[in-house]
Amino acid sequence: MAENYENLARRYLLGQLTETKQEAFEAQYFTDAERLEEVREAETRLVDDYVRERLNRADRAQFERYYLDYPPHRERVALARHLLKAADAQAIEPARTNSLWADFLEWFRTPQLVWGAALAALLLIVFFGLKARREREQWNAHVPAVTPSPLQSKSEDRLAAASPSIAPSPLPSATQPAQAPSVFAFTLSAGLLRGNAKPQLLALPHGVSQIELRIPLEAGDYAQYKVRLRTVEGQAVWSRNRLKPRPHQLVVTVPAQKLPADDYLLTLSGLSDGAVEEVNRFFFRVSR
Amino acid sequence: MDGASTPKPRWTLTSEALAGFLACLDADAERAGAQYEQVRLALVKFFDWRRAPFPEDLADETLNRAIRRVAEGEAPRDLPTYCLGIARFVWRESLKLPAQRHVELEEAGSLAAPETADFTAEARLSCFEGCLYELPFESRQLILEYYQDERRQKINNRLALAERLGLPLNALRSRAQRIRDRLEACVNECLKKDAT
Repeated sequence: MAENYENLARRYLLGQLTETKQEAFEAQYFTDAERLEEVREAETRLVDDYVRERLNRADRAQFERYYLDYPPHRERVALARHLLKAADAQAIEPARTNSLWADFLEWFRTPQLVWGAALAALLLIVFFGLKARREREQWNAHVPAVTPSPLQSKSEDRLAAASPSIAPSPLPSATQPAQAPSVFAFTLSAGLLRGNAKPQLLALPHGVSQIELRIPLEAGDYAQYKVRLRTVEGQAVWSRNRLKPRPHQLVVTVPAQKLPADDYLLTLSGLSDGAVEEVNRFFFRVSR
Repeated sequence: MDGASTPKPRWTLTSEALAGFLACLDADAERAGAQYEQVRLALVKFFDWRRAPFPEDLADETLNRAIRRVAEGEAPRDLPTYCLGIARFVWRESLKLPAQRHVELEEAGSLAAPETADFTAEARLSCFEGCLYELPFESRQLILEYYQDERRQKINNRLALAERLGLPLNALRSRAQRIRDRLEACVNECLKKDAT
């Protein structure tokens, strides 16, 4: 069976052919350009295998005894060491190819990145799921059934305007949650009730630690507000400055302990160019 | 074929002699030039693989003798094979060198062997890096990617590289070899300059 040409070339390069076979081999590559190319490539593979320590013991010994006993071959091996080292270093830092877009897309196909992305996505889903659940629970705590809706407040305003004796009041507590929330939200009615008008009733459930007061705003109002909370007798209870509003609403959170059962007056002022301008007053009663 | 080693007055290559030799290779001047280069390359590799000193010089010596014989009226049927025959004589002569040439060879041989390991290794690395970065970007990237050792995946990487470049695998192998040859020639030239 004819010997594989690669093996034959390797034996030629290691000086393991008889003189007759050597001459026949040389006659072949001398007259055939492709054969010459094959022998040159076989030499390259032999040198690279030596540098990468892939030769068997016998071939390695013969390589060092025969092939390396010649200065130009030693230079060839030295070059191979540098080249293979540079090529392996390039493998660590992937080369920039002509197509940066192809390299960018290829980066997303790496198994490590795929698994990493999948795990990251799963963690994000779990995180946001838990966050949404917590926010839902807080929302339920913020908005008990007794809180009048903005629509109801407006209708109550019309009632109040039509009949000053009728004070708007929160909805009956029929749908109050059995369990008292830690934050109690309350929407104040716009307009100052004078004379015999009764204040809004803020019936605080037991165990509430904070009261979220929602103050309605007119369109075109100020960028910042000041809120001052006093008892109707004028005793200062709580205040905040430079508050930024939400759309059509300013929300402030007051510690429930600051509002024992009593009547209170909330003064809303707008801040403009350093000047403070009163915008509205809200009158409400806290009952416990 | 007479490859006798008796010293003779050095023969000077003339343009007419070279033209006559090329015409024997091929009637078409361009093809003849390509064949001449192919024969010269084969001679250089022959002397290199036979571990003869100064392969390029011996290759040129072989061609000069062949050109001279053709100019003197010989008409070999197969010129490449004729040149190989002359090369064998030249090779045997190189083994029986006079003392002076032996000394020169030993001095030349020591260029590759480190006089001081650090100096030669440093010069070699410097030449390699300089020559590597003299290569065009695409050639440099090709050769570095082609010779990456990723163990079992090496062949797959070469297949992927060939596919990306739109080349058959054997064409990629040839291209990598040519770039490597160019790199080697540049490094050898650089080391020669460094030694002088």
